[in-house]
Amino acid sequence: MKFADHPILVIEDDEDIGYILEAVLKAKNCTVQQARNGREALELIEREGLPSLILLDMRMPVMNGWQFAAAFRAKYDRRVPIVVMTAASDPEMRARQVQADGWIAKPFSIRALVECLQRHLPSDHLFNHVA
Amino acid sequence: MGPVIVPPSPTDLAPEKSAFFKAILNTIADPVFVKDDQHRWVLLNDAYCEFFGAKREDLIGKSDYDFFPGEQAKTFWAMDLAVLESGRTNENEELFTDRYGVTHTIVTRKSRYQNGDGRLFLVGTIRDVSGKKEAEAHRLNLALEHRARLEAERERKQTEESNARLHSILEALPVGVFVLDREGKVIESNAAANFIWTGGHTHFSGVSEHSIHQDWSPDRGGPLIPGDWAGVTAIRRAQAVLGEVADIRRRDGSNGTILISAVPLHDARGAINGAVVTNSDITQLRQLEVELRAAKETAEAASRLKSEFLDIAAHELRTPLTPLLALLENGIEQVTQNGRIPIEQLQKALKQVFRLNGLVDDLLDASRLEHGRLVLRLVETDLNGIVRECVSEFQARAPGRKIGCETPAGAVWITADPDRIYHVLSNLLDNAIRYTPERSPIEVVVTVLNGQVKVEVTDHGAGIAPEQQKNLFTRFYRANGEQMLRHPGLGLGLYICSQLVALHHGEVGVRSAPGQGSSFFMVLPRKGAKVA
Repeated sequence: MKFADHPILVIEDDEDIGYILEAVLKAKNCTVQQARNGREALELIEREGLPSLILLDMRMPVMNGWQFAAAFRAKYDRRVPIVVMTAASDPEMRARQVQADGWIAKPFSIRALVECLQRHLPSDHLFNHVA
Repeated sequence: MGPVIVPPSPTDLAPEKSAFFKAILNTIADPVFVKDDQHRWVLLNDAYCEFFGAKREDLIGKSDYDFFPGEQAKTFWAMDLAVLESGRTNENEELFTDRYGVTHTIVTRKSRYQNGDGRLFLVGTIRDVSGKKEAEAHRLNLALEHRARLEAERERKQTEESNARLHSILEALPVGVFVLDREGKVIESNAAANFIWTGGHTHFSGVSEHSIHQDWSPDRGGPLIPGDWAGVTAIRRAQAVLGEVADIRRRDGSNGTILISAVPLHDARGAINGAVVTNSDITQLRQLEVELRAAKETAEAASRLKSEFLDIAAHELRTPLTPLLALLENGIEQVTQNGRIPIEQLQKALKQVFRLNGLVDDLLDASRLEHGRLVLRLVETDLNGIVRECVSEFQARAPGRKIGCETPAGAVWITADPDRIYHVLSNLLDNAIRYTPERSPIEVVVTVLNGQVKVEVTDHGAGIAPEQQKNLFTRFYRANGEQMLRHPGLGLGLYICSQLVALHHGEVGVRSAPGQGSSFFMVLPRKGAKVA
C-alpha cells in the first residue's frame, strides 16, 4: 500500500488514541497511517515513502519521540513537518527539544487538531478544501 | 655661732712658744693647725705634718699659695676668710688623696680664735672619717642588697604566679595549642592539644610539628609535605596561617577533622623565634554539617520526587482524557450527521472513564494512607473466595492467558476488608499480566502457615534486578526506561498494596531474579491469630 498524495502519519503507542485519531481524520477525508513507536514509523516510511505530515507522541516504548525525531531529521532533514502531541506540562519546550514544526497539547479538541494540521500541511493539501 | 672664746691668760699669749702646749698638741691624733689672719701656718701638730706630708719648719710662716695652684689656694683662702670674718665655724667634708695614693674622706672643721691682742686666728682640725664612711657605705650596701633580694624574690614569685596563671589558662583552653621554637619543634603543648591526638596521655615536647601531624592529610588531598604544615609555614612566611582544615587519623585509629591556625612569634628585637599553632577539633561540627547536607539532599530529593510525580500524574490523567474528549466530540458529530454512533466508540469512551476513575482512586488512597485516614471495613471473610473470584475475573479479561489457581480445601478465614484485599490481589495479578509476555502463564497459590496465610502470585517474566526490588513498594517509584514507557502509571500501585496489607498487620514482598520470573506475595494473619 502506498501513501496517498498527502497522507498523515500518526505515531502513537496508545491504541485508543490512535483509533480515535484515525476515525476523526478519516472523517475529514484524510489518508492516515499508524505506527506504535518510532521504529515502526521509520520502517513504514522506508517501505511506503514520506508522508505529508507526522503527528508524533513523545513517550513511547522501543523508540520514543525524541529518538524518532533525531533519526528522521538525520535521514530526511526537514522535508516533512513534525507536530508533537504531548501531555507534558510544557508542550512548547517538548516541541523545541525535537525541533518540531508545531505542537498540540493533550487532551485536545478535534477543532484544535484540525487547525493545527491546517497550519502545518502543505497549502495544496486536500484537507484545506474539506475542513 | 663660734666657739666660746676664753680670754687668754698671760702664759697663753704666745702659745706657739710653749713647749708644754706643743707637747700636748702633738698627742692629739687628728691633724690640728692654726693660721694667722694672713693665711699663714703659725702652729701645727705632728699629725698635721704627717697628713700634709711636709716638715713643720717647711710649713710654718707659709700659706696655701706656696703649695697649691693659685686658683685652688685662692679658694681655700676665701673659705678661711669667711670663717675669720663671720666667726662662724665651718665644717666641710671632702675627699682627699694622700701621698700614697689612698683616698680618704675627711671632715675639716675651722673656727675663729681671737687672742688677747685682738688678733684673729683660724684653728682647724681635720678628722679622717673614711672608716666611718666605709662602714656607712657597707651598711647601705647591705640594705640595698637586702632590698634587691626582696625585690627579686617578689618578682620571681610574681613571675611564677603569672606563669602558673598563664599555664592554667593554656591548659583550660578548649583549643589545642602548640608552641613551636624557631625550628618548628614543639616546646609546649596544652591538654586539649594532647587530647586531640592521644586522648590525653602523651605530652608533646621536643618533637617536630610534622611528626605530630604525620597522620594528617590536608583537606585538599595529596601527600603530606613536612614544610607544608601551618606552624612551619607561618615561621617561613612570617605571617599568620588561618583556618586550614585537615582530616586526620588519630593515634587510636579514629578519624576527625581539625581546624588549624598558626601565628609567628617574635622576640624583643622583632625577629621570629617560633610560632603558636592552634588545633580546634571540629569533627562534630563537620559531622553535623554532613548530616545537615544529607537531610537537605533528602528533602530536596523528596521535593523533586513530588514535583516529578505531579508531572507524571498530570500526564497520566491527560492520557485517557485525550481519546475520551475526541471520542465524545466525534460521537456528537456522528450523531448529528448520521443519527447514530458506533457502540465500539462508546465502549472505548467508557474504558477511558474507568481508567481515569482508577487513577483518581489511587491518588486518593495514597493521600489517605499518607495521612493515616484510610479506614478499613473489617469483616470475617474467606480468603479462598476472594482469590478465586479475582482469578476468574482476570481469566475472563485475558482469555488467552493460563492463570493457575491453587487454594487449600475448605475456607481460610481472615479478618479483613474484602474490597481492599481484592484490590491488592488484582493489582498483583494486573502487574503479572502487564509485565510478562502474552502467552506466559501465571500461578496464584494460597498457603496456610500456622497463624498466617500467604497468597503468592508467580509469573515467568523477565524478573527484577535486586537493586530495583527494594524500591518497588516505595511511593512514586517507577522502574526506569522501557518498562515505564511500555506500562505507564502513577507509581502508586505497589505502594498502596504494601500500605493496605500493613493496615491488616500483614506484609507484602517479592522474590525475583533477572531471567527467573517474579513472585509477589502477601502474608496476612489468620482469623483469631495474635498480631504484632
